[in-house]
Amino acid sequence: MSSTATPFTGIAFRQRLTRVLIVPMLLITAIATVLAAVVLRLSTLSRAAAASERAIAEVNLLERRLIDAETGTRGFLQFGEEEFLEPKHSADRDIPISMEALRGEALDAEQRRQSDQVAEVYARWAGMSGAAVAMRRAGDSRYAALDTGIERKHLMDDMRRSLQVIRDRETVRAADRAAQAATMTRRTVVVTLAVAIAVGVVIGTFTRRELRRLGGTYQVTLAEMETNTAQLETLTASLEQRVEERTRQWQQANQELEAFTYSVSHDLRAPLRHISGFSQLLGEAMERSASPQVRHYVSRIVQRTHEAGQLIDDLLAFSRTGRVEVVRTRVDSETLVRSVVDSVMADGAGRGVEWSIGSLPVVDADPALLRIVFTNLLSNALKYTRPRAIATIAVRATHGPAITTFSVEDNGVGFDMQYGDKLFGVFQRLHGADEFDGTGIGLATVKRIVARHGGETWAEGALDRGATFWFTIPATAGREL
Amino acid sequence: MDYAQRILLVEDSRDDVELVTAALDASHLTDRIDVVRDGAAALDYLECRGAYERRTTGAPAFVLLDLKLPKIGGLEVLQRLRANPVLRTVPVVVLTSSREESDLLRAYDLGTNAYVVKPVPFDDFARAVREIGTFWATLNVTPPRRN
Repeated sequence: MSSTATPFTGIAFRQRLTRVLIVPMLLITAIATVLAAVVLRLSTLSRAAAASERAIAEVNLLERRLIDAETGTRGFLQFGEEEFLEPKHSADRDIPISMEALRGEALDAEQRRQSDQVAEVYARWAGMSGAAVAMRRAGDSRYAALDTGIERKHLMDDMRRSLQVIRDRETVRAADRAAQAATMTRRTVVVTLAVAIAVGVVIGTFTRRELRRLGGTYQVTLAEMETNTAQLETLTASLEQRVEERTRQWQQANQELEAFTYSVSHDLRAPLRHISGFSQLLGEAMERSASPQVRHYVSRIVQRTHEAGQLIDDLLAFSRTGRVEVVRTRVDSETLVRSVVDSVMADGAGRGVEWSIGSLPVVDADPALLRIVFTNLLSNALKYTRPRAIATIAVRATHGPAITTFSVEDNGVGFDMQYGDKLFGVFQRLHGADEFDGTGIGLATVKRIVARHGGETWAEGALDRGATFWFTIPATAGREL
Repeated sequence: MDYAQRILLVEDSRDDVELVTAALDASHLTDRIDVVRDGAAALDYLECRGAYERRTTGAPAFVLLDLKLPKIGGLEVLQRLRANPVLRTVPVVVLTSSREESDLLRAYDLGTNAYVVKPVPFDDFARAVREIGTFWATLNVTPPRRN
């Protein structure tokens, strides 16, 4: 069977589906990682640009302070006023701080060398200017000799040149970084776009390929399912055929059984008739000569063969109700019941019977079979009310659109509900044959006829308090048994 | 007719022949009964052939016909009787054990005049046979036929 192929296909299907989802996810994750790296790098560059600006500002500040110091020194040396030294004092205080700050910045080797040089030149300038200021203050005229001015100017120029170098280099570096960032941004945009397009194409192709494979798998699965369905249909068909065959066999067996019952009953009937006939003739022949005892024996033989004949006739009738076709027509059940009452009362003549026939409906039933039902039920009612001075027998019906329920109620000897289920079996009797005659086939016949109309039969009763028999006739044509 | 017509009993069972005869005894019809034991003999009798070639008793007043018969069944006897232009009006009473609807229908379709199921109690059986005999042999009138 191909049922083993189905779980395999299931796994392959799941794998393919996972692949279709995972590959695009991996590609998208890769793009995101690259973009994150680029953003990190750009932020580093932007931090570096800020550092460059700061470095240039430091250089500018240092330069201004150097100029302030030189300007202060020159003023003091020229006019001897302490007031002129004010800028130099603050510059002397601030310049080392500025230098320290500049050295704290990220400088390259050349810048660092230049800044060291500035420090060194500043030291010389500071020594030179300090000595000159001290001499001028002490009134030592050599300050003029010391105050070459030109020399300090050279030192100042050196420092400013170095600072310019640092500044220039920083500006170039900043420009480099800006260019780098711009290039990177541009590249990133281009590359991301390209990669996104590539990913799109890859995902598209890949998804298409996987979907195609899935489609293939689906086709295969579909084909398998179709095969399975076809197999199932074949199986169902063969099963149906077997059921049909069994049903036919069962029906055949049933028919054979019925035929056997019929044949046995029929064949037994002839010898019984002969025994009955000859014993009767024997009795007549011996009318005068035989003793009363012999005549009694003969009469018993006649009586018993009569009963046996009745039994066989009932069996034949029962068998016939199972075989005849049920032909349902509209039957006026009230007319039918009244006619049955007349016919059963022919046997019960002279008895006090109060019949109560309700308004009975027109039903959809086989009239001949329905007559047998009522004949059995009414003659039973008549039979089992025999001990009553006044027998009351009521026939009623409740008529609905789907079903009609008939009931036959009597005030007879009833029955023990304990044995209620045995009432409708063949040969089942709840009373001794000496007490009430009968063959025990009547109610079985009733049940069978009702069943063949698709209806049900049941009874209620209590010992010595009467019995009620119900049966239903569904309005729509019931299933033929 | 200057002689009493015969009664043809088609019955294979000796017992039944005896019982029918006993039943008809009281009606003084016994000596008018001719008995044949199978369907072929019945047709020979009716058509005056074979063993009955020299029979001169004419068509019977009526035929008491069993259905289950050796050689040729009762229904076929009935069919051939009704197909015969001379014999088609001969009254036929089917006397059988069969209460089968199919037998009943077929017998009436083929034109039986009556259909009686043999009752088991002899009283009933004897009464039935006597009434049949009295009616068909004495009361019933049939059209004259050419021989």
